[in-house]
Parts: sequence; structure tokens; C-alpha cells
Amino acid sequence: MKNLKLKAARAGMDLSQDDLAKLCEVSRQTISSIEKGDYNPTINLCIKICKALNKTLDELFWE
Amino acid sequence: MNAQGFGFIVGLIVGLILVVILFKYANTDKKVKTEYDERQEKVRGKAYMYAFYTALIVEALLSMASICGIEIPVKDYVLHFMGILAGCLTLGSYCVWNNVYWGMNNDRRRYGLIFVIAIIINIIAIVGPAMSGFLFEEDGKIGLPVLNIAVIVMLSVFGIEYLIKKAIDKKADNEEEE
Repeated sequence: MKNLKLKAARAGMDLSQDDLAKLCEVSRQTISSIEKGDYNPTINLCIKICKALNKTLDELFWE
Repeated sequence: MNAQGFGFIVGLIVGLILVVILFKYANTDKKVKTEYDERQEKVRGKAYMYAFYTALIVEALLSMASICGIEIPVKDYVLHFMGILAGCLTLGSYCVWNNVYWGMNNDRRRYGLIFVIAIIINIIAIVGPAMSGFLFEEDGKIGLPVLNIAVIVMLSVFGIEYLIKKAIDKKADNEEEE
């Protein structure tokens, strides 16, 4: 299932997938896969993404 | 040990040392080991599994061919390398198709350069014996040049697959942006 909340939060901060990937120390394709719903990230990566986007886990990853 | 065997082992050792130096040169943090993120590690785990099965199947088929008396006009030692190369082809293809072609610390330009140099070296290794008529050994079987051809084919498959995958991803990303 697509993670539209993540995509919206990233776009809201005017960050590209590449920018967010650099902030989270992962590849751009990994961010793309998470947004498309192709990859289910570990809690560590979820926390990194939340910190980079200044959001909570609930806001980005809880349905 | 004969001269050919000695030369082959020396060549392998020199090749390994060269690979270590090249990896150090091609990684931005000057480490030999390429770093991958968690998704990439997961994909690579699967890729290694498929590569192992591929090498296993190729080796089993070659053994069966030998038992059945099927003559392959290629030297035995080269045939065993084919199993290894088939495994490498599976590993690389799976990784490229699942977007694990670049590690976190890879310098893409330098890796590209190494890729091109590897293809050129292998082409030179074929052209030399082919022009001097030493492509086939005394028993009529083809030896080392087959390996060079297989490596060129493998690298070309990676290159073409990379370009196709990049085009597909670009199209998908554009459609998603719209």
C-alpha cells in the first residue's frame, strides 16, 4: 500500500527523494520503495525518516 | 604444476590485489567494503541465494553432461568457471533489477570507468589470441578466451539491464509526479 502521508510530508518540506535519502543515510530508491509501498522499513529507519521530516511515527506510519 | 597453471594462479592473485585497490579507489570513503542500506542488504541476501542455486544447477548440468558423455568443445577448467560466472550473472542481474546497483559509498563515475576498463581488457584478451590463431588449444577445445567472452557478455547484460531499469523507473516516477 502506498505511503502517501510520507510523500506529502516530504513534499511539504520541499525535499526531493534524494534529499530525504541523504538525511536518512539510505539510497533514493529505498525512499521511493517506501513511498510506493514496495518496502516495509524497519523501526530504526522509520524513526530516522520521522526525525528528518519532523513528524511522529503515528503521523507517517500508523494507518 | 605446469607453467599454465602457475600463470593462472599468479594472474588470479594479481587480479585480487587489483580488485582491492580498485575498490578502495572507487569508494568515496576509501574503504574496500561497499556499504548498503537495510533494503539493499535484504535484496542482496535474496540475490546471493538465487546466485547459489544458479551455480549449483549449472555445475550439476555440467556434471550430468560429462557423465552422459556429451562433449563440450571447451576446456574443463573453463567449464567450472562458467558455474561461478552464471552465479555472478544471477547476483548482478537481480541486484540491478531491484535497484541495488549503487552502494552508499560508491563513486559512480569511478565505478563506470572501472566497468569500461574491464570490458576493454577482456576484449584485448580475446583479440590477441584470435589474431594469432591461438583461440583453440591443441585438442581443438577452446580455453581461456571463452571466459573473457563470458565476462564481456555478463558486463554487457548488467549495462543494458541498468539502462532499461533506469528508463522504466524514470517513466514510473514521472507518471507518479503527474
